[in-house]
Amino acid sequence: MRGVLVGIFAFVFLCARPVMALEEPSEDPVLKVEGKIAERNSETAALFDIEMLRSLGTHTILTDTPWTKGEITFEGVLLRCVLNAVGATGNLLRAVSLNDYATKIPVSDAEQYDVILAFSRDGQEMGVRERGPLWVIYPWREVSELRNRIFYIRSIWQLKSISVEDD
Amino acid sequence: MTKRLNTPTIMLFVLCGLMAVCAVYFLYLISSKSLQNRGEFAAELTYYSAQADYEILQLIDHLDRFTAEDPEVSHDDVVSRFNIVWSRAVNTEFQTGRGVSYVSLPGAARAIENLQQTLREIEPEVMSLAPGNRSSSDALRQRLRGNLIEIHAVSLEALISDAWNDEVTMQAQIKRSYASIALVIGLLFTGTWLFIRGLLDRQALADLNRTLEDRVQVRTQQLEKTNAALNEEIAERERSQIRASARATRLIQAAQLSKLGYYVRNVGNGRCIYCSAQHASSYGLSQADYIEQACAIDDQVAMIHPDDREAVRASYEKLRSGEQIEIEYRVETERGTRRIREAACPILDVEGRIVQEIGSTVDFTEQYETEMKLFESQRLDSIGKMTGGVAHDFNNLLSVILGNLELIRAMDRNPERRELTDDAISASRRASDLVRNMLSFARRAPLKPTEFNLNEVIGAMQDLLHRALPETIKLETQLSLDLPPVHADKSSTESALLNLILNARDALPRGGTITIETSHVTMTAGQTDLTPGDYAQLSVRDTGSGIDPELLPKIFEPFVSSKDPSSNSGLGLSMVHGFMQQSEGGVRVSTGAESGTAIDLFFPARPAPLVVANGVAAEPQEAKIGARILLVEDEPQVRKTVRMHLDRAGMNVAEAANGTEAQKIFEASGPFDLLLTDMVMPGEIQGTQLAANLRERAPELRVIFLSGYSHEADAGDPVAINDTYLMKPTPRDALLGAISKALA
Repeated sequence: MRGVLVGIFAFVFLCARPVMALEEPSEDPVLKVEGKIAERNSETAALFDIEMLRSLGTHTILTDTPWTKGEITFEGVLLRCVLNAVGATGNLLRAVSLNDYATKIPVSDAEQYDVILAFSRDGQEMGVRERGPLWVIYPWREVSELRNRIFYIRSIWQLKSISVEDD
Repeated sequence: MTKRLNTPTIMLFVLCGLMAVCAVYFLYLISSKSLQNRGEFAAELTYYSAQADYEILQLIDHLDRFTAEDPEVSHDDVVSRFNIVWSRAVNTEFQTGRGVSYVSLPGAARAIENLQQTLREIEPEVMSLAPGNRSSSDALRQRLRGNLIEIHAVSLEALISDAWNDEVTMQAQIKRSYASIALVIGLLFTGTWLFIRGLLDRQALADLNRTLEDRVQVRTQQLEKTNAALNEEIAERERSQIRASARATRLIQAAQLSKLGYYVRNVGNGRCIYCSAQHASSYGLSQADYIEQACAIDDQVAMIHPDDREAVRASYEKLRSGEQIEIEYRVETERGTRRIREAACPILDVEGRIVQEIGSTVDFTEQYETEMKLFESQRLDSIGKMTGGVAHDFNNLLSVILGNLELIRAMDRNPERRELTDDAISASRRASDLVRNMLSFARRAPLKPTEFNLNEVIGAMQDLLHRALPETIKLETQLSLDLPPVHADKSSTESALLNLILNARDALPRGGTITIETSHVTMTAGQTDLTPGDYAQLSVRDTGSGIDPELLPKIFEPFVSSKDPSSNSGLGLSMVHGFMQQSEGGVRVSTGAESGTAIDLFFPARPAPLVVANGVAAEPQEAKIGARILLVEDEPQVRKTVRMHLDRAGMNVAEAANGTEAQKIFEASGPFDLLLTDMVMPGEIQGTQLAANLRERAPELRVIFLSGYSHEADAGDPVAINDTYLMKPTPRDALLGAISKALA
């Protein structure tokens, strides 16, 4: 109950902020959001550095993963906050990683689950060598139904860009 | 008719459905698991390995293009690619998750180890690599190609492993699938069999249902018929109950009206277990009291009059032996002695044993008393008739005796013999009075009020009264000298006095004194019920023990007597009372245990016109000489005596023995001045009829009737008002006086 209230609070107050016009990234951007979005800070896309993402509100997930050992505390920004910040109107996200691996994530995942774009692992920012700078993390520990291959495939690391599309 | 599936059939279908669903779901699980496993393998090792190949190739490509100064590739891109390879080769946890599968591939561990070593060794050079440095780039790429070959070999191993895994998995899967299919087929077969069986059973059930429904319908119809019959029976029973109730009510009412009581008694202990209110009432008890007291036969017998107990006990013993009984007995109650007639019979059980006795009782006390009174009345009536008959004949004899004595006296001049004759005439006249008293006692004397003095009556009756009393009883008279004359029937007065004397005699069984007293009293208004005025009082007092207070209010009622009914008619005081009422006088009774009983008769003292009769008031008159008289009398001696009196009086007499002869003489020798005829004669023509017939020819004919029965004038044809009526025996003076008066 408390978690739900906190989530509603975060959605209403934190996710609502980026409705304002996007600032330009002050550091090297780590994420490019393009496609069917309303807000942009470049010609074609919305670019985010870590600070911009952090300013959307951070969310922490404690979970294990199929690729790591033991439970890890991931900190990041809720995917729906990012989508809200850019005014995304599509229902499908095409996520691409630095090594050009691509996967499709339904927007409903962001609405239904607390999916984050993690930028910190156990308090340490993740570099490319640590599968950073952004890693899509699902709350596998809290929601057991997410523990299957469909969501493992969507859990893309070294995330580079998101294209908002429609089916 | 709607067919309904029963519960077992529904359960069977549900079971079939469940089995089918299970089979399909099982097939789905097998196929989906197989696909998933297939996907897992395909996704993991082969992809994982190929990805490593791809990323090393990308690094080699970026190194080449960067040193060839490709504008699209920056040094950051090269570093990024280097880091990506690093992340896969160095930072992957090969001890867990997917890394375990990868390093288990042949040569993988060594290839990874070599790659990690290469990356660490070339890292500084890559980080510092400048565009156009082809030699360095070539050396780096050459080094990486060595690793690429090893990694690619691992990729091939991964492909082989995947393929082998697929095969093994699929073979195992296929084996499982065969078993599953067999199971599914078994399930389907079983389901189908169950379904068919269910259909067959359902058909059988339907047939059975139909049969049962038919039976139920038939049974229902039978039940409906039975129900209707039962309803009719119930209605009939209700009607019967209503009728029975009405009958019972009528019976109860009839029982109440007829004062019919009933009881039920247990034979075992003799206890009365039920009795009707009427039955208890006959015993002078309430129902509850009777049942409480009638605990045993002895208790019930004890309620009965002592004189009847033995008879009742004997009857009850007969009843106990199985006979029906009818008995009559008396019961002493507060209301007096009740007479009860009881009929009882035993009640038998199925084995013929007597279990109860039921009896009905009728309290016939009133009926008994009425019957007894009627009997007494009839007896008295018979006595009266007999007495009257005797008196009639006796009067005729006395008429002859008296008439002849009077003739002897008239013919004989010898004083000595005349005295003897006078005594005989006196005795004859007393005999005549006695007969008259007998007639009065038998209520044969109609009232013919005359004026007389009570003292004279008492004096005349002295002899008679003395004769009626035993020697132990002394008769005293206290007569008033200023007693006024009274107007009443003298004969009835004599009867009344005689009755009072006889009552007083009966009140003195051990002797005593009876006092006859007369006095002149004057009644004022409010003193008594009598009309105010002067009265001559006649009192008869005795020195007995008085009248029973309970009997006192009833003493003037007919048939009430304190004496044995066989010795007394009980009519005495009622006759006295009725006579005094008729004479406009009254009766007063005063009694006490010590003072005895006094009965006072009050005769109104007032003058009354004289009536022609054979009373003492009639003055002897000389008969009319030469008068023609037709004498009709059936008794020859009486006729002869009367003829002699008339002849001696100088009358011209023609005589006839009956009415028919009288008519012939009247026609042959008429006319006559006077008809002197007996009232009752043999033949068709009686005295009154004869007088009527002759008057048709001679309306002025005078008539004098003679009769031994005083009431004959009432019973016969009407007598003319101026006709004279004479009782036999008629003294000479009275006879001649009446003739003189009639012819006057």
